[in-house]
Amino acid sequence: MQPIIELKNIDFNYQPEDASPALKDVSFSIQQGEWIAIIGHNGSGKSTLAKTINGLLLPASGSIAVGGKELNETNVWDIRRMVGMVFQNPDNQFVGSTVEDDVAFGLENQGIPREEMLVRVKDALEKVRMDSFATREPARLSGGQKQRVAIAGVVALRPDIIILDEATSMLDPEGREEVISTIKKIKEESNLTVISITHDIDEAANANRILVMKQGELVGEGTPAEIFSAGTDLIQMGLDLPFPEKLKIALKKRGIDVPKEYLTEERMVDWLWTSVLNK
Amino acid sequence: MNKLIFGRYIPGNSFIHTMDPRAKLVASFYFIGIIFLANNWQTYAMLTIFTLFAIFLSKINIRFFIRGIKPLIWLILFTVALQMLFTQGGEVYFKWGIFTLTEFGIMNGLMIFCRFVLIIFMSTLLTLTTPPLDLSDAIEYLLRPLKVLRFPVHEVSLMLSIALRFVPTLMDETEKIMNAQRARGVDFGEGNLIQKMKAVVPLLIPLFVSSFNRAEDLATAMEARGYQGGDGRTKYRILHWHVKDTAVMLAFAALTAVLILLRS
Amino acid sequence: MDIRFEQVDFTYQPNTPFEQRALFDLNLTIEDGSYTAIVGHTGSGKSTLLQHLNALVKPTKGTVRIGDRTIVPETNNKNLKPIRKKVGIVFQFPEAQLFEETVAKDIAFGPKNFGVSEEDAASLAAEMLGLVGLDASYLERSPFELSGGQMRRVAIAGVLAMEPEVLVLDEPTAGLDPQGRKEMMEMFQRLHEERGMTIVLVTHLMDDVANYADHVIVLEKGKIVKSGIPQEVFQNIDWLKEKQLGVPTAASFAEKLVNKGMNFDHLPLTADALADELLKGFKKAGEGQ
Repeated sequence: MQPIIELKNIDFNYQPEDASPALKDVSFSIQQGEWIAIIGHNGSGKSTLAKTINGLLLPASGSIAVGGKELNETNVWDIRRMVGMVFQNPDNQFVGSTVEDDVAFGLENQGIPREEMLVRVKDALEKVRMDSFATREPARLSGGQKQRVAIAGVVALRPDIIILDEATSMLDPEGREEVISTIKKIKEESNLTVISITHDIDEAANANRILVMKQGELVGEGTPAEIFSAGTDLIQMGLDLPFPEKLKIALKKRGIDVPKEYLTEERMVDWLWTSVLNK
Repeated sequence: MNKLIFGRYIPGNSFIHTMDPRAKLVASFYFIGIIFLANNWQTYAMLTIFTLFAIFLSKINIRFFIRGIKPLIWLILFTVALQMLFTQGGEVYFKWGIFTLTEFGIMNGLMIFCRFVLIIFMSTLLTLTTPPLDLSDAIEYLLRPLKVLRFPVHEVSLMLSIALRFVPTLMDETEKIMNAQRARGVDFGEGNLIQKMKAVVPLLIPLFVSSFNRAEDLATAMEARGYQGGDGRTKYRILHWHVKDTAVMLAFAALTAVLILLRS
Repeated sequence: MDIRFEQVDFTYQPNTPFEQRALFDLNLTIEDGSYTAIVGHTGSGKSTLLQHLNALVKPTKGTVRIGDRTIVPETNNKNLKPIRKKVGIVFQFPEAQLFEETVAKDIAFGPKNFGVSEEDAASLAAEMLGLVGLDASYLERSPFELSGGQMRRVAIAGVLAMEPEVLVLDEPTAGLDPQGRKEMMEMFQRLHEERGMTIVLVTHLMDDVANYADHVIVLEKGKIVKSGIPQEVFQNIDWLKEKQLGVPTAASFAEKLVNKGMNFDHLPLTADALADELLKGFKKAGEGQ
């Protein structure tokens, strides 16, 4: 099946004189309906990579194909109908004076007739559970609520792909959970392809595949289980250690043998239970 | 925490509140124009009754309107005094050097006072009953004819609405920066004028820098959301003109006729 | 230097139509040399409480004692400035306060406002820059050309340069990546241990509370609903969930073991504490063979 996003040999420099390129020979493909997490330390190029997919940044060389169309300067606007993006700062992407105005912004840009806008705005707000806040001003919303409105703004345009560019970094734990569960729900309902750039291990754990960036290069790829078994290297990749890994380290320090492979919390609980009490 | 009601808008459901903002805007400017038709006590009485009736319809306490006069009270009294002490005509009540207090002088003084008050009351009525965003929508609509002259109506309107949206956010940010700098020993209220001006630097620079960053982020987000300028855009917010708006326009026309009849 | 709150009330814009009560009869003590965490849902009054710690605001009722200074509603605003040197507050996203042409000047700004000489302020700036993990090459650079994480460290250095006795931190790791968070919390721990600095940490991250704090104050809607050592405060997971507070990861994991049938005297709050408890279990299992 043809991938919905395909990157081939992407190079990118913010300034031509830059010593090290922001992106160096990056290639990968994403199938429709996948949830891809892109992780990496600060400055690894993950955000830059995200911005090439919807043409906010144009690569110096290489090709990007979205939905079968190869991205160039002229069809960038068509591509943007297929790819919605939620940014890191909840305030700095909120254009409208009220919640419903902001959701309508993207629709207005596409020249959607007003009657249809009314339907789509209401629909999108219901999907993110912000419909009772339709006339609320942004200054009176929490970070998590603002991000959900941003998601509604994307959903109203009915794209195939949604990119979350560190969309949960500036939120408190509650806000983060709101946003992640909203994305999960919407992905299931509409079979969206999700690309999330993140530092949050709980967010990354939802992915089908994780891509690891380091200094502009794609250095690793795998399922969450495969990537999370990297142990202490995870910190360099910009993630925190999952708790079972931290516990394993603490147990090892105390002379207890622990299984090498990655264990989820549930499996760790099971292993401990059988090892400690049922011998 | 946002305690200020920006633009002094007071929410409500009155006849005036629910009028189309375009009608209110046009009516306010028109009123300021026809007020110059009045030149005797009958015409001023007419205007005063009209204004007080409008205030009554807004269901807002007159206290708020009187508050609108306070900042300008000295200017008003000064102008009135000038009129009263320098106008010649009619019976002379008092004379002292260059100052003459005459019948005409007193009349003119009172009329000027009335004019000031009525203009302030009418404009206050506009801002008390119309949210800033509605005013911005009204301005955009009324400026539309200027598109013919290549005036960037849509861009100006978008700038205005984005600026309004960010006012509460910027106010919060100002408070946060002030607190942070006060915690570093800055005193915003103290000292002479030079010191007070210096104290503003650690507040203004961070605000400017953060605003530039915001603008850049916002532009990127707008581009990602398909914004390409005003062409081909539809509008979500629309204004509704109702029968009562036409009625109000007619009432102003009637007022104009009456003023013309009554003036001397 | 202790900080004490005695029956403190605070109301925003009292006697106006916008009046809003934020703090209700607060009584608390932040002891000299302690590491206190203040937790609570958004809207619980944390920021208001914070602003009382260095007299940015005065209580509308009650007394706040900061060291030997006493602050009551009638206290004159004129002499509150010296308190702000003793209690340094690092607000959330502190990089927003940077404004000077160079890093050195910005860090020196705070001390100079309190009468420190030009030379002393400059040497403090260099010293604090090192403390936050940046080398001297940053001194002459413009703060605005640094990365977000670096700007934050410069801002913190600017507060440390005032040489406060109490350091108040409002969500200091917000927006940082895991590595950055780890480095930052370890830096504060060093300040606490090596310099005896009293630390007050306002946070949502219960793991940080479990790992570092020796005293926890829980706020809800402007009132203190629980306070004590972390062990006590985090014992009842249901209560924590009911109050919509986070649960330290280790405690939540341990709860799963409890559901399987394992027993703990106290729910362990950190990975190390849990490992210690499990060690006992492993030894017993070993002996049983």
